[in-house]
Amino acid sequence: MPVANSRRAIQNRQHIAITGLTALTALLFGLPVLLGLIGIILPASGYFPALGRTHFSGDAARHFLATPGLGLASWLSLKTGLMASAVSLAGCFVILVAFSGSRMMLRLRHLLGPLVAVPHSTIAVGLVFLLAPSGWLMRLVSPALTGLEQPPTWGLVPDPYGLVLILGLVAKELPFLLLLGLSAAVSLPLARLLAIGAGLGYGRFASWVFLVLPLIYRQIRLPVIAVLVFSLSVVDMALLLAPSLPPPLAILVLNGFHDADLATRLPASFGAIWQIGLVLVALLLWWNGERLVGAIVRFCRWRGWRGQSADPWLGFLLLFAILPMLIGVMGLVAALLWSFAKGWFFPAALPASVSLLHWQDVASYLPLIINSGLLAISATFLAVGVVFLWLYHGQDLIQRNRLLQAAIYLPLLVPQISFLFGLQIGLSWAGIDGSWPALIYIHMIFILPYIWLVLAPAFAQMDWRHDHVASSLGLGPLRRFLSVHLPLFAMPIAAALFIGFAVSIALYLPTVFVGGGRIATITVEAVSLATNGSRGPAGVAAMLQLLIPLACYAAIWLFLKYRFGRFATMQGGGLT
Amino acid sequence: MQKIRFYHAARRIFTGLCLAFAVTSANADDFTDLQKAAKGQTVYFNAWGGDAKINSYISWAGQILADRHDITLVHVKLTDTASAVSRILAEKAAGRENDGSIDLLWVNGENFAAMKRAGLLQDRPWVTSLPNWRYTDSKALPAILSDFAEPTNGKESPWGRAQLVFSYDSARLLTPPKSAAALADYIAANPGRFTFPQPPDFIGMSFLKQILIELSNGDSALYQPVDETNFDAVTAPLWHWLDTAKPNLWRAGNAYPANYPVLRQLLGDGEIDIAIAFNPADASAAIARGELPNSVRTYIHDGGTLANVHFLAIPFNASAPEAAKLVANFMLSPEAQVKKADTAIWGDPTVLSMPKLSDAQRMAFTKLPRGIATLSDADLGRTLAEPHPSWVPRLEAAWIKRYASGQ
Repeated sequence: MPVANSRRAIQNRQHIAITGLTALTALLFGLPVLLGLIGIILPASGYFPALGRTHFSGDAARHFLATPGLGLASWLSLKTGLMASAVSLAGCFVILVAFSGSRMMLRLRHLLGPLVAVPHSTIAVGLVFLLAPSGWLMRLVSPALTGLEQPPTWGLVPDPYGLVLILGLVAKELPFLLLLGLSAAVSLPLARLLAIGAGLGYGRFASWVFLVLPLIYRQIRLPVIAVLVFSLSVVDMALLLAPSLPPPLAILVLNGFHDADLATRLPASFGAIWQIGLVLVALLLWWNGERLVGAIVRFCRWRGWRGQSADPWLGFLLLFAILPMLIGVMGLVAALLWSFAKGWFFPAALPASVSLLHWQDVASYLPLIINSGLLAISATFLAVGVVFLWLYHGQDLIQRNRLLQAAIYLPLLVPQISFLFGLQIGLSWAGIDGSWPALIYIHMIFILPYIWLVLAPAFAQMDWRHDHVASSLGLGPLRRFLSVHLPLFAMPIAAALFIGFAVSIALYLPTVFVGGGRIATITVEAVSLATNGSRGPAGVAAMLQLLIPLACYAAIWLFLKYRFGRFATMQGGGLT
Repeated sequence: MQKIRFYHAARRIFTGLCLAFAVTSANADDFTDLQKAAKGQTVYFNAWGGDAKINSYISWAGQILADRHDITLVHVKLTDTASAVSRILAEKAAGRENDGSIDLLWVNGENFAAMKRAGLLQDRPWVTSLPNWRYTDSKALPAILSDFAEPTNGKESPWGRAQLVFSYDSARLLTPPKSAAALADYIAANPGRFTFPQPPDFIGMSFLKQILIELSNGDSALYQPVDETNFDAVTAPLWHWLDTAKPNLWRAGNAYPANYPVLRQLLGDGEIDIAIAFNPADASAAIARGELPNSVRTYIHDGGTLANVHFLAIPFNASAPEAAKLVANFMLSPEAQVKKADTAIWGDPTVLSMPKLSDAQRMAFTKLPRGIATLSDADLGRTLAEPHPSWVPRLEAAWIKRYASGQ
């Protein structure tokens, strides 16, 4: 029948068009990174016409490799990055095991938002202020217990081993992984898994380790890798917490990009590639670590370990998992105090006088807050929109095609300092650096992988029978999407929106490079103030920065409560 | 036509900006054209943004420029001036010859020298044709024409002066050490109580240059381009001084603060006894903000301390060069300079020449309160000239090799 044939042809064509669109959008996400890498590889191989270098040579590489302290710097980065990621993941697991399903978890959840959204530098400033010899902890016990009128000359921050940097990173990354771990746990049949574990005679700890955590890890593996890559190349936090003689690799590279001698851009570009090499080494080690841990777990299971004796230790482990977060929170409290302090000198435990001095020009921050908010909201909603397009029209395509997957995840897997300088040249060449569309686009590519990770499992587990019922009642696709799918997805969408806002608000280096300084956000301001040692104004900026995610959090929560309150039990995406 | 000119002249007198009397009529016409072109433009002013005082001064200037000239001044707050130079370079690499992202840059020293070398500045000199240039006197202050011995060629407009000043808490330290040698003795006697910002930080490098100039009695080689054959010999006293001091520095020289605000914070926290700044009024301003105790005072070394001038430059590809020139001109006006010199606002010394001002303008400067910890002009009198800019990268590399490579 020709009519049916032509209809099928049209459908086919539509299908091809949509598939093509899906693939194209996915590839577009890898483009900035590729562009950025080209902009690094050329100068690294000696080609940089703006400085009159038009011949390829190995000079840049030779120069960079001769950097004094390169070996130690690389080792420091590798060590702190791996340790911070491993500790963050372990802490996240311990908290999940200990608190899952309890009231404590609900309370903890409220803490996660602010900790995820606050920039690394704010936590770092708080940490320095806590742990320095003249810091808050010392002030609390001086001179009463120590007899000290003047701070001791020994000091912990920064320590030569990078331990404080690890602590700072864990304080930031653990809450982030926990937030994602919680949303992954929601999509699992937790009660059933734990019942099976109990039926097999496993203790709580063992049930989780054998049955639940492997499933959660599978879902958050990518963010864990992203945390690893980020920790290996962190800049703002390392400036305050890491040893500086030599500094971690990323700072060494950034110094090259920021040197007054413009020719150092070439060796620095090679350093950016070296940084990628270091990431690959770390990934290899991590991958082997995964296999080792997997083997140990399998061995324990094979030996019939029931783990009942491990449960009492959980509280002890929990202490170590909570501690970094508590330190992060204390850092925020210190920032709050400093924003109102005038004259707070050692050994006073509290500011000598409270003043609104630093809050005077709070109105001047308003445009920055608006910029941050606009950026976060538009990038996040766009990302959610794109993810829905993919879920409805190309989920299989993306999950089958490794190239598309790599394109989506690339921005998280390549260290930021390795492609941002090149990207800056690329955007500048296209004449769109410092423009809103470019910045929203770049924020979106950093947000989107997380949103994909939250929404894709929820989508896969959706109970399509609801859809069929609605369809049989005569509802069109759009009505079904609006009145059936959206309510079913309400919880995962809320989680995705919040993670999107939080990631966007905390994004620092990409905003600086792509915003071209023309679009200033509250985060850029907060980092600038924090690294320039003005605790009062930095405290104000940190507090204002927290406003946005808190407001979003409250808005999402209220919306869910009033709009979908009656569906509150459908968190798993089904009615079971 | 006559009417328009009269109107503009009247407005200039009214604003006290550029006054028709002494300026040649050709200049005035150029400037009128400039004002017309600048109307409605947005100037992206890239300036270090780590100090709330400076930031609010810049927003004050922006307010006035908006009211009088319909110019929007956007302060792009940098953490590091070199990052802006880097961005201009990226634009040049991308072939962006106009409509660049930076219109005006706060700069001096090696960053200026690097921009000049790489051709990142406006092609044609523009500074001496600014109407307010007539308030400066390059004979009395030659540094406005040569930035760290690098001729400015009219491509950067002076904005303010800086001098290296030490601050200390007079409640803890009675007689501060006023020379490189005395400082060495002080460090040996008080372990852990002195440090400086880690090179390549600007103030850290300035401290190294200060010590080197003092120890070598101002060796004339320092004012020539670096000569590799005698670099070791010229700098030997500095390395000896640092080697001796290192074990008794803060954290035994195993860590250094990142920049001078962090150093100032250490003084406020009582972790160190002496801090360094490149602004004579910095300590007074910090006391007013409650960041340093009231008992902090400042001093300079007996042989004088490094002094230089900081400038405003316009990149080759600025999108609003006319408005940027107008901003630079306003920043050079007695009105803006007196505001900037006020310790309560910023406390940055003026680049203008007092004899060239009217009585009323001069009065405005002399009436300014000095600030509790700020030295008098007479006490600040002894200055040392900046070495040739080629010494900075060379010293920086040598310091890093010796102290920052972990070997």
